[in-house]
Amino acid sequence: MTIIARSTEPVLHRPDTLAEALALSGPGSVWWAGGTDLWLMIDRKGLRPEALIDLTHIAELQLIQTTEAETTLGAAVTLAELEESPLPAVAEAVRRMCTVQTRTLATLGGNLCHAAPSADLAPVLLALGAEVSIAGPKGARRIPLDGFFAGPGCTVLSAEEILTAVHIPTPRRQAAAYTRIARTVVDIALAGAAASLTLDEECHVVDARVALCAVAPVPLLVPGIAEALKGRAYDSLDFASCAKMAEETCAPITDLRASADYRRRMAGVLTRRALATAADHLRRMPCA
Amino acid sequence: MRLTLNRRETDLAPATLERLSDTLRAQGLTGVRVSCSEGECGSCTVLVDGRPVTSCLMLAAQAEGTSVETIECDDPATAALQQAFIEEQGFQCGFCTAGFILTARAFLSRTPDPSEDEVREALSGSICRCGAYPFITRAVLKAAASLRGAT
Repeated sequence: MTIIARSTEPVLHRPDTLAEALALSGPGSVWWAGGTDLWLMIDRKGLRPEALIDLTHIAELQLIQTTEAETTLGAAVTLAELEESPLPAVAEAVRRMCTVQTRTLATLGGNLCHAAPSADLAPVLLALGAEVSIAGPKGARRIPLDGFFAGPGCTVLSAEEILTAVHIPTPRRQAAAYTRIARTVVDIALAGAAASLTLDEECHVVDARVALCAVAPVPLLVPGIAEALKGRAYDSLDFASCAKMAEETCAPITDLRASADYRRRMAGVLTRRALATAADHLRRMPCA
Repeated sequence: MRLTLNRRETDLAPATLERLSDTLRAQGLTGVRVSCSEGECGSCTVLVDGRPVTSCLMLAAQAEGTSVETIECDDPATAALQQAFIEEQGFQCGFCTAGFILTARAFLSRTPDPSEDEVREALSGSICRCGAYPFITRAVLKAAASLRGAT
């Protein structure tokens, strides 16, 4: 359905299917979901789209689905819906994002596609080993989330492509945590870190990841964490070396919220806290 | 477009880039207070399908087919909260009050017996420049108790 607007106003399209949405894409059109970031770009930053393509009426973008192998979250799932998601670390991160009232509108896909270096969901999903599905005029593709972000406000999506879903693998014994520092509960992160720990039958680490936000142009994984922790018992892990690796990985800037030096140190502190919290979650899981 | 506005079927014709808050105020619903215009302060909060939304961040056109409620909507939970805010002096200037009450109403409908901490977290998306927070928290706890008694 297309709603004809006043002449100076952009056109609002409201497709019901992905195929319709892709066909509507053209020069000057923008994808619209929660609109909470885009509206501010229109209102405050002079963005002047010719058409808004509202993606919130496409059923497949709203799905939350769990199979034995993975959980799939549709890109238009709202943050409010994610608060009740089957993934505790995601729900925990979402509760720290923006405000209750904005979470009703804002979407998972919007948070990722806006590609703010401080996007809270990015480190959590990176730590969980997420992949993303993308639809475009040339067909669909699926890529690791690590590699999706191209710079502040930039992703690898072309203008005609849509992020359709995020897939999170479900390993048997894994815990994850997100921790951040912000001036107030509703402010964006000055620095954030997420960690995941995956154990084998003997409660030894088989995989581990740490991802950071707000300390580099893009949210990023810290390389070498799995190698540093692999094979060790989860209750005797050396997090100090991981913290150091996080400090060395990040490339922070100084802005009105924090200095680069502070951000770098906090990347280390938060890495330690996130790993310790994840280990704490594991302690409460029955070890088979 | 058609929506249910304060429980009445209503036809509206907003421009594409019209904020829901402006549309509602133009309908005479001036209990929708606009302050920051960027979703930070919570004073323009309304309920869309029962969930709190900062109406300054929502396109009016996106409300098509939904049920929108403002502070003007006659509702027993709103009334209980208003009464508790009066009794506990949960405001000074009152500018933020409608947003607090509607956010609290949505919260209490899902969490009828909250702790004080849960109330504080639930209301963290609203700012009261008069600093009436402790009184607001008390008012919401009092309204929760009275609503539990009423059911």
